[in-house]
Amino acid sequence: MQLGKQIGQKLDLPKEIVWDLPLISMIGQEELTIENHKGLMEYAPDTIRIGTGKASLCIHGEEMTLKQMSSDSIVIQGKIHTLEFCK
Amino acid sequence: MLPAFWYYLRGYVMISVSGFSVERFLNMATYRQILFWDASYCGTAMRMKTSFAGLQELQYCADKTGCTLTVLAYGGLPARLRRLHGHPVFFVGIFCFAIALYVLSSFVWVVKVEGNERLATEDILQSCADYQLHPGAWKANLDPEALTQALLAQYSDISWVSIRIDGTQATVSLAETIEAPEIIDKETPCDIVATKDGVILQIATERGTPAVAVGDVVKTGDVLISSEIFVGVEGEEGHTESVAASGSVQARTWTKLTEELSLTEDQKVYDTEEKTNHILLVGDNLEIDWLRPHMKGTYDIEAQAPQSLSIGDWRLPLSIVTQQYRPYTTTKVQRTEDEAKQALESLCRQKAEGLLDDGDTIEALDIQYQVYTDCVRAECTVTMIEEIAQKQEKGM
Repeated sequence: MQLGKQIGQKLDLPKEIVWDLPLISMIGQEELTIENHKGLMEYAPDTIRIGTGKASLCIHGEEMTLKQMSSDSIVIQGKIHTLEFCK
Repeated sequence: MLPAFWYYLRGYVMISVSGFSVERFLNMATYRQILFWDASYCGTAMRMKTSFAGLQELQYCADKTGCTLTVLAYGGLPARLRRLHGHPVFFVGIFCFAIALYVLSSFVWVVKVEGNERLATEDILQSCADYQLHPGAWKANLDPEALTQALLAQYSDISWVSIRIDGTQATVSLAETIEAPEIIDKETPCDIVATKDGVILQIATERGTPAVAVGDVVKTGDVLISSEIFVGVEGEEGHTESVAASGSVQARTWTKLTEELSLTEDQKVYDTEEKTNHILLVGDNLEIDWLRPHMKGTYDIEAQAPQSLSIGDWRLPLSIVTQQYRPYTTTKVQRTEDEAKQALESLCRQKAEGLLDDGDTIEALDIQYQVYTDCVRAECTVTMIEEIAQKQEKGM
């Protein structure tokens, strides 16, 4: 794994691919896209928990909906307050 | 955006999933490559949209995860079409619309000419119309190549022409030839003669010999600048040569004008009851005027500029012309002698200004009035300062 990381760094490869990490992008406070996720762990309008590998990503907000969900990405819409990586 | 539009075209289904582990259901569905969107909680159940194709698989996922799946509604284009299945008139309407759209788009509705500066647009449009290119022409009957050749043959001022048909608009793009410069003949011997009777105020000779001086009285046809010039040294015997005389001669001239104005005048008195008419203009020529108001007596029609209908930047071949019908009655109005004289003076001045060329001026207006019982007559002498030089070939 260390070797893979080093090669990835040397060759400037995308880290989310080489290290198998989630790629998180936000549009303001309104929309959040998580690529390379490991599945939905919890879903409620005010809390969403998404598996990302070692830790899970907890999203707190209001009136959150899953705009789109596929095996590659999850798009969340709503008023997002906090993002937190939980064990 | 694109998948959502695609699923709208293919049709989608709105489902409700309830149970203890909805998250497991969602994960299982995504693992099986079933796309869903707009997922939100509604009470204890989760509502979402998914494709028709994935519905069977989702039922399997729901059974496996202990969830209850309920189909709430079908959406998208197929569902809409199913709902309209019992309305054949709607489909007939769609069919007629498609046919009408196809037929109407098979005509040329607008013909534009671009690139012309010296040539009149109306002339080119007329030439195009002679070769079947006019608003309302069937596109299949057009032969742009023949029209191109015809325009090139007809107009020597056109060096290049192209005819482009975009939708229902035909654009005639052309390039004009470079304008030939005015050729001034400096070889053929000619005199400068007077075009009018007058008194010379200024003479500037470019070539030739001045035949008159400032203050001289000249008559029409008198030579002002002679073409004969003396060549030789003073004191010795020389000879004369004929050249093309040129120069400028300004003179004071007098022109007589006669105007007459009646002391009674017909005046229009407009009624307050105006009526408006709307005309639908198809293309540039076809007018649909079905709503013309019924008018009695005499009336004026004031038309406003056509208002084009457009969708965004795309101009439709339709425009609306609004006309104002203004009925009037005619009454006789008596004019005083002074009013008639003022009107005559202004009329004489207007006419005198119409006689002026570039650089000419009016020096004075001398008006003598003769008053009759029913009219006033003005005899006006206009004193002008104007150019009276004109070339005349020798022997003419």
